Amino acid sequence: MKQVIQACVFILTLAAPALALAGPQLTVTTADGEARAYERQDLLEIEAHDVTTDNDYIDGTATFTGPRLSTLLQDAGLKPDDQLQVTALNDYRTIIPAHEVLDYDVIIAVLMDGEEMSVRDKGPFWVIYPMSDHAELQEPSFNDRLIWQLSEIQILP
Amino acid sequence: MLVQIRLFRWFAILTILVTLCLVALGLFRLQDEIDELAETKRAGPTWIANQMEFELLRFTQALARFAQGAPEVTPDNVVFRFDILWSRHAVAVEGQSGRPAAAETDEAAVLDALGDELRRQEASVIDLSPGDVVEAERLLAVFLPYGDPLHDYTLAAKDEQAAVALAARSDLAFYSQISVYLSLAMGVASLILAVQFFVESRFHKRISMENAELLEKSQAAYRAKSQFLATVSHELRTPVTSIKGTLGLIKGGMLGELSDKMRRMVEIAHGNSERLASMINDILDFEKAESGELSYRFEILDLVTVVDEAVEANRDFEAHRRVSVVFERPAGPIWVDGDGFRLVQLVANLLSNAVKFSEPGQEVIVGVTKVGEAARVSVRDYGSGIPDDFKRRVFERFTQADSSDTRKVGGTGLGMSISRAIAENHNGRVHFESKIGMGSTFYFDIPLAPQDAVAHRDSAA
Repeated sequence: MKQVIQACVFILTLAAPALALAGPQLTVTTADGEARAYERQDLLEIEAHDVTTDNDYIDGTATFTGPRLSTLLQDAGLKPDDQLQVTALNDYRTIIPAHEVLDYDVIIAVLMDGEEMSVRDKGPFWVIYPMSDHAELQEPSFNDRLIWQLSEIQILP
Repeated sequence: MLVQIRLFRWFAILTILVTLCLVALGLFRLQDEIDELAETKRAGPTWIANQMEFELLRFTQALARFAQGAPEVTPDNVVFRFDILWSRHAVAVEGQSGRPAAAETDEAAVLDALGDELRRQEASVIDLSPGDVVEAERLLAVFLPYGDPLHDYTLAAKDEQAAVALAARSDLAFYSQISVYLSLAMGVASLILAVQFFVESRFHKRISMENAELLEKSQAAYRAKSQFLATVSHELRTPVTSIKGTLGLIKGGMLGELSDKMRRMVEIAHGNSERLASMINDILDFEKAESGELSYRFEILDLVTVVDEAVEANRDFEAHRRVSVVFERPAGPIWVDGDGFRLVQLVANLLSNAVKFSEPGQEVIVGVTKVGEAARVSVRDYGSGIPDDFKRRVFERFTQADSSDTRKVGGTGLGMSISRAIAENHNGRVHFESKIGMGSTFYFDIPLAPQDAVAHRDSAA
């Protein structure tokens, strides 16, 4: 019995780093209901595009790294008049028009200035528009699209 | 009147421009205000405070369910809720412009208190082990009391946002009002400008009509006057001719012997009747020249002969004035196309003027030369010269430099005017140079006759 417990503890000890590594996930649901979960590493492997920009929620500018939404969703055959519903950890939801994703390099930021973002600091994922590169994106309405603590993206059917 | 109108117009234009600028500025500000109002939607202070309050509620709910032993609530869930509350608190402290909403109110004190509490309990929350009900209840007891103050803070933030929105709305109303007034002002200014343009155009129209009327009147008066002059002169010519003829007969002794005294008197009378006749002829010629009735008979003729005749015609006058005329005759003939009678009249006029304005004993030099494609007659005197201020008026009719009643020389003042009319009819011109005290030289330029015309005349002769 004692051995069994020891073995269990040993296995748990071995598994602990793996459990700890199992980080936050981003769920992407396509229009036909197919859902896929991505972790930070998955997203960075798809694409690590840098966007250096400012926005209303940070001081000065920062470099955000992560895949372009258009790259992430390219298998889903995104059309300009599609709508993306994005949901945050606190269940806040809003809609991003797909044409904005196709027109601009909108990314799912995984890193901010090369660092992972904690939940306390608007992480783990943050929708970032390249606002500094496009004057028209300075409009206040685009602030609403910068969803932080992003947890889910759904292409509305 | 005109200056006032002009000033007023500039004033009106300026007013309209300034008003336009103000309206544009006002509309610009208006758009800003509207944008600002729209922006207070999601990022507004009420939203931020509300989210924080809401996340505190979810965190305490998670703690309560954990304490109750609900199997679906793990320590990780509690930590997750704690992290979200932390992030919401951070956003509230950061506010929209680096400072929390309603920062000056007493209610804002809860922000610092909650921040301290979050940091104080951080380790306990992270270390919460599964089933540790006691610790969960302790944490719940710590965080539950923040509910009410946080709610009060949300209300304070809402009040502040409402005040800001109210101010923005009243600004909006103010700018709308201003832009209405400005538009009205612009309308009025445009109207004034239009009225002013209308009045001004009426004014100009009236003035130009008056001017045209005046011009017509003065032209009619001038016509009537010269017509009268011509009629009178014509009526005078017949009796004067008869007087002149009669006096000539008496003077010639045809009507009996005259005593010396009588002869002298008759000579004076005869001389004056000749002057009178020539003046009357001048006036009639002038009137004809003015109305274009002076008739010309052009032929190829020698300008030297013309000058000879003119000199001859002035012989008596020269003798009378004791002025000698010297004709510097060129070697050969100089052919021109002209009316012999009128050309003699022109040259004789220049000559008689030169004699008239010379002192006894002085000479008048006459010459004929070729100058380029033209023939030139020059008449030089050594008289007093033409004063500078009279030079411009030499060719004006009825004009003499000395127009006083006591002037030394007579004449109608029409001679130069007639001369110029004759010269212009020959495509020529009369001009002069003169120096006070040194005398004057008058020139008459006329185009030379074409070679073939001269050759034709010669062969005909």
